[in-house]
Amino acid sequence: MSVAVRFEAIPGLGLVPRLLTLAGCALLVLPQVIVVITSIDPSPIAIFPPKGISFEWYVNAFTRHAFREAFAISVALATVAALVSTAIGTMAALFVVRNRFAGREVLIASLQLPILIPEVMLGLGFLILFSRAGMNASLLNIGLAHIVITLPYAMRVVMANLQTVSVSIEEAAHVLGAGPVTSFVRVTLPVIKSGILAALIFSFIVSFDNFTLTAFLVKARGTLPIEIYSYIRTESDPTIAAISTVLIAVSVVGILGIERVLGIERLSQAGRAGG
Amino acid sequence: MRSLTTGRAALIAPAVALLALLLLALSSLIAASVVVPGGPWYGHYRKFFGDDLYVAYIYRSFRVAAYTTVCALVIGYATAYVMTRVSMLTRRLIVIVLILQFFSVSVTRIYSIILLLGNNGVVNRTLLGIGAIDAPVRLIYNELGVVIGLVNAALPFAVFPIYSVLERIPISLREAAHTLGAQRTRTFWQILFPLSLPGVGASVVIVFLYSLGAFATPLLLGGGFVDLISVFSYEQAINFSNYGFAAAGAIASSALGLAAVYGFTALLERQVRTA
Repeated sequence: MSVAVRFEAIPGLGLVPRLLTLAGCALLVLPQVIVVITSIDPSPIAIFPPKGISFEWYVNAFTRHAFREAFAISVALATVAALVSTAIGTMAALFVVRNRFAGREVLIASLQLPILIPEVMLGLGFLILFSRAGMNASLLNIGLAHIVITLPYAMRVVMANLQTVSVSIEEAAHVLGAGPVTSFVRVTLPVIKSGILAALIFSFIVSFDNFTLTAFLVKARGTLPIEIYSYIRTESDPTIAAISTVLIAVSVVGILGIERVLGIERLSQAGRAGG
Repeated sequence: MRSLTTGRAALIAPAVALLALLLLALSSLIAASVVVPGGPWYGHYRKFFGDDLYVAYIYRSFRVAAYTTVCALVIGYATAYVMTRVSMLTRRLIVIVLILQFFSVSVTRIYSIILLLGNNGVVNRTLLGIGAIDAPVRLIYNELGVVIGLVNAALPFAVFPIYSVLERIPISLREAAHTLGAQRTRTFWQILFPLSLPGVGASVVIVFLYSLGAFATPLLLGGGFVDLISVFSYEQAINFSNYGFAAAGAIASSALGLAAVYGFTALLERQVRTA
């Protein structure tokens, strides 16, 4: 009896933490909900609540040449950045996890530098470097910069995955007669497949979302975030709400996809210092 | 045996090449800030710190970053605390809401805040509708708007470090405190909070440095009225091709930001040791 009373009496959650949590979640969720509702508002000034239902802003978003081109550029750029940085990041992760050498810790830390340095400094540094070097190809410059900033994410995700895999399974494959290439492709690769997939998704999103670095390097045709930015500056109709709704839907699908591959706990670990 | 992954420097070579590219960009940035045609090497810095107009950019940036850090810390701590005390389902829901932030495109996230808080936004229209105000209240295009936008973006960075510390504090500690007669508030401030200080420290450092370096949020939610150092550097570089001066501003603010964070961490460590 006395034991039961004691456990029941553990103080509950106070009102203040509950209210603050609610306010925080509202600050994150409410704007997104409003965007989705505004996207079907027929009136040309984005006002809430909408006076009816219309899909004209979706039509406008999909038929505007600037947005279609920007979307294509962003997808192409993010795909290339994701493939290249995941390949390089996987190789680097394999190297640092499987080898012990002097300066290993320093190397791992240095490869995480792009996350730690403010993006304005990176953008300005790349702008100065590329202009001094006479490199004027806007998309190539943006692509290189995107690969640099997505590499830490790709490498980190694969490293976390690889640390759970023992090198002895490769040795076992070797004992059973497999060559180094066979044992890597048939044994190691399948085990870190989920890490590689997550690295691809992460780096795709980091590149697709990037605004700051790109804003410093863009010369002519911009990526989707750049086009959205210039549209917001001059127009106030809900076209951007329509685009945002599509992007929110894609993010939700992406999160559910990663959760299936990695699990939500690992996801929050990998994203912890990022964004 | 010789695995495919041990002792092969070729694996790490591409990552090292990207690291070299990053270091080149940073060296270009530093070089540009100290190369002054026909003047001493510190010319850009002297010009920057010699004029109150320029110093004000850094002052404003620090103020906005400090407000953001305090708000994000209070809401973030409450959220992390609530997460350790609710059902698994509620916790997963909160984690998904926070993770969604990492995956949403920053420019559209900022746009959604304009829809919520702008002069024609949901909040103002609601307040006008119920007659609480006569004219729209200015919630964005000022420092308040930038802070709200930054808290929205940085909240996940504030929650996760605190949550990972809080979830490791055994519940029996709180039970013991309570059994010995401590009230909820006292248990929190004397037991839980001091033990969670390392997580608080990590949150503060991440959120402060993130806010200090943020670019897209002040650019869009400041509306040209809140001149932060990141926007200054961008405008000097892009509009005036004044790379050296832009670099000096960015480097000065980052150095001061790192110094502030270093001082804060040292103070906190002393606090943790004496606690």
